[in-house]
Amino acid sequence: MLSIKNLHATADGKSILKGINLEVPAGEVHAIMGPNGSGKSTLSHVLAGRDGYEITEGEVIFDGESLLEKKPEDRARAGVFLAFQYPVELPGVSNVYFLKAALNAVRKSRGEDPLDAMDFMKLAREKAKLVELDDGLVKRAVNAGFSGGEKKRNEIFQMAMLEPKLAILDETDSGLDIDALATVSKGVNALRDEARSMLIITHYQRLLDYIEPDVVHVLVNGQIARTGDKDLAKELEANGYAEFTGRAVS
Amino acid sequence: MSAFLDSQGLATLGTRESDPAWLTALRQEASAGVVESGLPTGKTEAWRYTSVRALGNQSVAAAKTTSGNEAVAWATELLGDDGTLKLFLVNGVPVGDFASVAGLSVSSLADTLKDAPDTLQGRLGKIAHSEFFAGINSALFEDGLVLRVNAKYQGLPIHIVHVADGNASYPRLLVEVEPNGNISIVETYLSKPGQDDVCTAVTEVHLADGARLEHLRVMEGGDGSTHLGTLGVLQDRNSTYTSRSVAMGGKLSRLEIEARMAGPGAECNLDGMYHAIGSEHVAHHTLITHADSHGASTEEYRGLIDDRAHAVFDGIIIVDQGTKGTSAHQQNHNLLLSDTATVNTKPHLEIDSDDLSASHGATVGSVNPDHLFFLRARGIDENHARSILTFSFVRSILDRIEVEAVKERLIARLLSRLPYGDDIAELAK
Amino acid sequence: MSSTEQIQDRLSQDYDAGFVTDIEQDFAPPGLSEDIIRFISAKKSEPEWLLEYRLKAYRLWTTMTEPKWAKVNVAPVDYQSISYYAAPKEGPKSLDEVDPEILETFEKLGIPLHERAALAGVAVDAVFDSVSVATTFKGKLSEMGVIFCSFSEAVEEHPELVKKYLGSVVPSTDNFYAALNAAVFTDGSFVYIPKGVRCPMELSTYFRINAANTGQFERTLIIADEGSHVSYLEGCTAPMRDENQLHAAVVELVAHKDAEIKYSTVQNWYPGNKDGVGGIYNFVTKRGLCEGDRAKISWTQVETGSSITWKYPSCILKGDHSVGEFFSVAISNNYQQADTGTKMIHLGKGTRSTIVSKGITAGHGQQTYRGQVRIGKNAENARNYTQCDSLLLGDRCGAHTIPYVEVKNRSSTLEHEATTSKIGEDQLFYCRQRGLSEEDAVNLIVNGFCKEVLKELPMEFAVEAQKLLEVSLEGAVG
Repeated sequence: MLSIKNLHATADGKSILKGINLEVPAGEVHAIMGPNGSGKSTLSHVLAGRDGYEITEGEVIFDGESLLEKKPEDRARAGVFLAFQYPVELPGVSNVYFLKAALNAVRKSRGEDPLDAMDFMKLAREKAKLVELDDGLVKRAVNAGFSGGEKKRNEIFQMAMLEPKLAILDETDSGLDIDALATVSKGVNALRDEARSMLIITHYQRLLDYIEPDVVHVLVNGQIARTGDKDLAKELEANGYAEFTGRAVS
Repeated sequence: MSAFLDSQGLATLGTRESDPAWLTALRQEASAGVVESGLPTGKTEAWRYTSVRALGNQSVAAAKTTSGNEAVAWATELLGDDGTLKLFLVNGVPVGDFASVAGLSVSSLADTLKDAPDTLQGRLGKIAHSEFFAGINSALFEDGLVLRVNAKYQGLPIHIVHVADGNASYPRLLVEVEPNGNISIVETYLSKPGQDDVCTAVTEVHLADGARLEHLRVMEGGDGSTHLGTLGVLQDRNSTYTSRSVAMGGKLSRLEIEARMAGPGAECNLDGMYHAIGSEHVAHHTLITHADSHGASTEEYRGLIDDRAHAVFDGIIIVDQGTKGTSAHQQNHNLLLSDTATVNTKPHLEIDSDDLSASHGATVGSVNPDHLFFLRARGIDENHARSILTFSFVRSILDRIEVEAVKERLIARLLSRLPYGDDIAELAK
Repeated sequence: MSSTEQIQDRLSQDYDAGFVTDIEQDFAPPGLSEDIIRFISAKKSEPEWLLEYRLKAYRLWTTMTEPKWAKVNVAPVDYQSISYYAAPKEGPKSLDEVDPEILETFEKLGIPLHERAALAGVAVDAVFDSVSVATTFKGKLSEMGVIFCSFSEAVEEHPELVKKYLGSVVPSTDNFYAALNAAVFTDGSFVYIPKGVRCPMELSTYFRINAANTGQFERTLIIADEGSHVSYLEGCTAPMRDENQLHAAVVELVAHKDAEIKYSTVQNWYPGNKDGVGGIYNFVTKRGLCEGDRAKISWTQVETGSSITWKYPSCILKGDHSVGEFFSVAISNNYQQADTGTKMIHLGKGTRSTIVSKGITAGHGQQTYRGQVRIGKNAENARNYTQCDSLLLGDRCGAHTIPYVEVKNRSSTLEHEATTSKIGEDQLFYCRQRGLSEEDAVNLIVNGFCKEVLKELPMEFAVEAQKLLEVSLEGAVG
């Protein structure tokens, strides 16, 4: 599904990703863990096509096609979904309207007919239940005035609506209390599917208690330092990243 | 005796044989401009709300004092020992000797013009504008102060005390803070009681790269005093200028501040607090120009207007085309304390760049009845509750003053002017 | 393509309404003099008092100069080269008689008279250049006592009302353009809603400047008698021309006790081309008087057109507890200049006003919000809330906010907030990550930015306004 080969990226002339190699087959959930500043968020931004990064070397193949030349919206339409670490507020733009526009843009690119208002609302209500997002929030402006937990649930709700092939969850656990974490994870788990890959980016192991990964990678200083199974995450939780960075980092 | 805008008066008074040629040209240009424009009227945008018609017949001749010692003694007693290095000017003329301190050079403007006029060229009269009253000052000033501070200075805050003792005065000040210099300057404008004086003051400030200045400017005139102040600030790269204007007293107190952020990464903070009672008129006109990128400016003026007093706030922020990463935020808040008080506020943004975040806000209102009720419900009588809320409305501005003893004196002065202020003095502690 | 380029690209689309209708016109010779005014007055068979009113205004105008305080660069206007009267030669008596080409013009603008009138229940008083060409639904309205007719007709049939109210809110002495209008106005709309009547439909007028070199000086007078209610829609479009054309209209509203007037404008006058050539000079004086207690006047405007706009729809809140509102969206693109805002004059006790202004500036556009809020000595417990936000698209445009606030009553409360920002890169990226094109993302964000104002528009206009803003609105959903 996703194949990253020798990916190098810089931002403001500073080298951040220094040769990442990663294979995520369809249906698998991979976790990427690493200390602050290791390049985790950069990786998610580069995959989604955010401005401000320069790819100096390497390639990314998604679903058989090269991803890096594509505009962000074309990547989204091809099935790449990024759950933002800091979801953006769009004052005055209602969630339902936003999602309907997004969903129909994605459907159009797949050659499907746009959903009409009735079908869309039916779908939205069904998916909103998945993350216990109430009707009020669904109709409010996108993320405007949402609490941290509401914003993250809204991200997963959008993911459920857009049914991506690859979901990248960028520190989705940050700022969540245990209850919110459980709700969000439940939503994510419900979306696990043979045809869908997930890349879960996190600093802490605790999210992985709820969303069990097939593979865990440790990202340090812009490179994958080690790859293992879910026990690797537990090991990191116990020992920290010191082994990889040469200094004590929790 | 020549009247304020008598062209003959300006022309004769504005010529001094000892002036260097560039200054003569400057004075002539200024006086010609003033004679041509005349006194500002309500048709001049910046003077819409402030009438200076009454000044038409005022004499322009600067008051002469044989010795400023008496005025200095009076001011010293009024201000007390506030832990600053005090410099006195009576009617714009320095009084006494200045001690020399490492990193700080203080000299009289007249002496500097005589001894080293080149050091003033390109700065004096070039930082502040020369329209209307600033122009009259440019044409007429005879003396003043020149302060130079470099990075070595670590001494006391400087307190420049201006005393008006007579009809008219034209104080002129030039402050140069050299690269990475850091200083706190207080300017207090006082006038001897029982006189109708007009003080037309100009202060010019240049901050070199990385320089920092905290500049408190206090207008504290008597019942008959008119203060027409102009403050020009030129900021180079990464410099930080902080102005705090306090206006408490004077028939008419008006300050124009023009800060130009000419280098990248400059920071400019303009704060102000005004309290106008009786039939006082107090006006602040500020203009901040973001002429280079990554500048940050903040502005907060808070005012109390009582009796038949009239307050004006006119704040302009200009963000030039091509600048990036600007942040500019301005606030003006007013509390009207009587049915006959008036406030005009005009927060004004002129933005010609899209890479910025800018905002302004203004409020006018009276003491919040809910707050009043809350205090009364806790057993405080209405008069005191009102006084507490009035005081609290502006105290945040006074609290920012760095020089502790000066801050305390100004808080005490505010309390003495507030109804029931003395009773709530505990609160100020 | 970078986001900025994309935005520029999106905004550089052509003016859709720029076509010229080819019909014969009846012109006054260019120029302005007492004779021309007599010509106009005679053409319209006006009573003597109105001619006198015009002449008085004209004599005053000759002593006045154009206001210079607005932040706009105006090429000098040669008032002697403008033709002050242009009317289609065939005077239609009913809709059926309307020149099919004119109707087609309206069709192109998206206001099919028949259909719109019939389906949407909108009575349309269409002004084609200077003369009202068609008025629909008049019969139904007159049953309720509502007068909705062209200004000329009102002069003939209701002279007492016209005489009483004309110039009562905007006197001809008010300003240069108001004086000019009072001297030469040729037609416009007149509305009178009798006591206690709630006008059963939205009243709508479409103004369109067509003939080359004709200024348009329409006059609108709306009177809502005690306890009545009316919603009035005004739309404007002009064809593409290289020369600048002058539009100096006057709108006067009078709301008596407990009456409510809602006045909505969608203004799409020709803004000039990409290089700033041509376009309408839109110098308009609009003012409403809340004469009686608890009267309410609400201005809503969506301004996308004109090369220069100079316009401050205002409210005089004279009656106690009267209410004034101003909701505005203005877009200035290419070389458009707009100096617009409102005045809220609080005179009565407990008066309230709300101002929400949203400015969007792109290209070399220049926009100024200029507002005045005055709270008089006797306006106890008056309240004002003002919010002006500017959105900048591109680095060569300018947005200026100049509010004047004067408060003379301490029991009043006034709040003013303003922000200026650009569309956030992170907002654009977020939308694109969800599959929206950059263009749609910009539309979406602009639409969200304007929403507080757009929701104030009557349904009939909302659709058009959205089309003009090039954004689609929610509403299909939920």
